[in-house]
This record gives sequence, C-alpha cells and structure tokens, in this order.
Amino acid sequence: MFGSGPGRSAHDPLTGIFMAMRDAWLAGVGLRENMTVQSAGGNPGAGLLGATLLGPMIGMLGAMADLAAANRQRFDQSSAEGAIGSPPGGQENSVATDFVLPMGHAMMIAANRSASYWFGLAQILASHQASLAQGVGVNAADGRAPGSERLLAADELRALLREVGDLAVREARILQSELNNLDENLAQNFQQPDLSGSYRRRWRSKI
Amino acid sequence: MAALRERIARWIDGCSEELREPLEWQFLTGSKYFRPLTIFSCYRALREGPIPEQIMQSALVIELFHNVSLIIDDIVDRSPTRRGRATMHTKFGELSALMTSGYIVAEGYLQLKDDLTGIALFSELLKRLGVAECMQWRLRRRPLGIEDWRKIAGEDTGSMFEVCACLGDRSGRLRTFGGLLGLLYHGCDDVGDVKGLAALGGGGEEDLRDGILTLPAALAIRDPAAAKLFCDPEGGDLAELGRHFVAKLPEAEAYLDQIAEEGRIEARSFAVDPAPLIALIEQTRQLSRY
Repeated sequence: MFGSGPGRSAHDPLTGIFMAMRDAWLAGVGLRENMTVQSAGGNPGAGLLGATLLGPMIGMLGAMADLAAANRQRFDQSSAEGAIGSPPGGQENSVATDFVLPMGHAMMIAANRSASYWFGLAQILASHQASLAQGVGVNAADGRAPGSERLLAADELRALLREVGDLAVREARILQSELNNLDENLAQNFQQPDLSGSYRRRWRSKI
Repeated sequence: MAALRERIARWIDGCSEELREPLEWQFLTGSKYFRPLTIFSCYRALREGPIPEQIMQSALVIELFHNVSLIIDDIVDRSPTRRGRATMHTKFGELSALMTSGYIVAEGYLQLKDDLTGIALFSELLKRLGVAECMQWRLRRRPLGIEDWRKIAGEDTGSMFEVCACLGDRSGRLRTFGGLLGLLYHGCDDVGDVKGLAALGGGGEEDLRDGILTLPAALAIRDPAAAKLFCDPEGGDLAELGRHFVAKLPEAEAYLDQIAEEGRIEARSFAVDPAPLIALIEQTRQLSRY
C-alpha cells in the first residue's frame, strides 16, 4: 500500500520519513551550492528555488502520509484484537486503549503539524519567488545596482526570513497546544477516583 | 465599559485633591477604552462567565498607563490638542503634566496590589515603551524598510497590545495575537494620519516633520526621490513628501489587510472562541478606512 509517488517508500514508513528528510537535505545543499555558483557568475536563478524545493516537500508529505496511515492501521488492529482476542477485562485490551491510542494520536498530531509546516513553507516561497528572483538579480549585479534597489531586496529577504520563522514558531505552538490537550485527556483518564471524601475524625481525643 | 468608567471615576475621587482636576480632564472624556476592551476580549476568547476582579483591575491600570504614554507623547510632540481638546500640558502646564503622569504610574502599581504577574507585565510594558520611543527617535530620517517599521511598531503599540492580551489571558497563549493587533493598530494610525483623519486622535504632521518611519513612509521611501526628501535633515519639501506618502496609501492598506489576516489566523489557532478577537481586528481595521 505504500510506495507510489515521491517520498512513498515501499518499505517501512519510518524509513520513508528518514529517506525523505535525506532527500530534502540534499536538495537544500545542492540549491545552496547552485546559488553560490550562479551569483559568482552573475547569473540570477532564484526562480529555481521554489521548484527545487517542491519535490522534496512533496516527498516529505508523502512519507508523512505513509507514517500516519501505518499508525492508523496499527491502532485499528490493536483495537480490533483487543475487542476479539482478549479475555473480558483483560490487561492487553486496557493497555491498547490506554497507551497505544494516545501514542498514535500524538504521532498523527505531529505528522499533521509537519505537513502543515511544509505546506506553509511552500506557500511562503511561492509568494516571495518573484521578488526573490529580482533580489538575487540585484545582488548579483556586484554592487552596481542603486542603493534603493539593494535596500528593497534586503527588505524582501528579511520579510521572507521573518515569515518562515513565524510559521515555524506558530506550528510549534499549535503542536504544543494539541499535545497539551492530549496530555490533559490522558491525565484525566488515569485520575484516581476522589478518595478524600468529607473529613471525618477517626480517633477520639484524649481527655 | 460602564463598570470600568465608574471604577476610574472612583479612583480619581480617591486621588490627591491637588491633581484631581488634571486627572478628570485626562480621563473622564473621549477615551475609546480600546485597550481595556482588548483585555476583556482576550479573557472572553478563552473563558466564559463574569469578568473577574483581577481582570477588571488590570483594565483600569492599562487605561492609567496608556494615558501616561499619551501625556508624555503630547509633551514631546508639542501637541496642543488631542481628541479635539487641549492636551494636559497645554491646559495645566508641563510641570503639572509630568508630575501627574508620575503620580498615575505609582497609583497604577498600588492598584495592582498583590497581582505579581500583573506587576511583571506592566513593568515589561513601561520598559518596552521607553525603549521603543528612543529607538523610533534614533532611527528617524533614515532610508529603512517595512521590516524596520514592523520592528519599531511591534515594540511601540505592539508591546501595549501584547501586554493587554497577556493580562486578559495569563497563560500567554494570545501574546502573538496581541502583538499583531498592536501592529495593525499602529499601521492604521499611520495610514489614518496620512489621510488627515481625526478619527484616531491626531494628525500626521509631527511624524512627517520629524522623519518618523511610518508605514506609508516605509513604502514611499523605496523611491529614491522620496527617500532623499525623507532623509533631508533640514526637513525638505514636506508637501511633496506628503504626496509621495498619499500615493502609497493603497499599498499600505493592502499590507494592513495582510497583518489583519495574520491576526485572524492566530485567533483561530489559539482561542477557544475566536469571535471576540476577530471583532477586535475588524474594529481596528476600520480605523484607517473612514
């Protein structure tokens, strides 16, 4: 069921994630080298940026989807086995419900946030692509461009960096918030029944 | 808001008789109470039920501190009027205005009593406002960009609304929302000034004269001709510079729409009920559209 399309691994979905990360890393390194060579040779080429990163991004999304699907399958299996195979009130069923489901849920949340981050990143890159290309063109002109154009290019690049940073922080905060909710649910499920009751004296005072 | 107004009136009644007149002049007319509204809305975005005493007290103190910043701004800008009436220093003299603002700060901290988180937040606010004002003045008449404007506005009005958001919800979940709301407010104020509006309490002549980096200025000075006028230490042709700013208004409005959208995303992501926060954004966004 896995293995079609970029980033989809025919093997273990976790391995797929690592392979997709490796691809993204290599693409980034390649792009950096490419841009250095191009700017030294006076040839703009930042328009390639979005296109070069798009493949690895899709790969990451594919790998995430595989991992999420694999987890889903695992939870469904555990639930089904719990329902059929275990003795009534058995320990295994309880473990599956208490631990495996929340762990799977946490992985789904993390995969979802990662996918959302990559989508956001692609959108930001797409929206800045034209101005970035222009900016690299100005910088590649070896300081001959008017100061105002260089300032404008720097401003565009700073906006891109801020947006990427803001996106990462926002996604991380949402992830933290969603995991906190899960943590709270888990804590409530494991909460002992209230044993305190109303206070009663269990001894007699010495007179 | 009626309860807050009453609370402010009661507070003034308990102040020194010597300063009661300037305090009434400053507080009892014309305020929009937008900062207290932000505190209440942030509380409402995450919780139900009546507004607790601590939140009401925070709303009172933010209004006190906000007015301190207005009194100081008016003295520094030599503004004769605000909201269509004489400023405190024009009416009562600079000494009285400065001493009253010190008195208000001390009273603000007293009102917070044992609210340690509130004290820390108000201290953060006063420190950041002071730094932002100095930074804005140091960076005047320089060919900077939108990102620099964002930094300055984020520390100036942004810090005020960040603190409001944290006062309304002490977990800090809405801090970024508050910062974006402040940025939006600051930008709408800048655009409103260029449009020559009285809706936000003042004109934009001071900023134009002093070479302050407003949103329309940051957009206009991308043009070298406008940048040359803007950076001229003698003040240059202000009318011509003003025309450059006016030409950039549509672009500035589009940029404000973008900030408003960032705020909506933040509200939807972190509020249980984003409606009060989105209402704040819409209300703020309207300020430059009159």
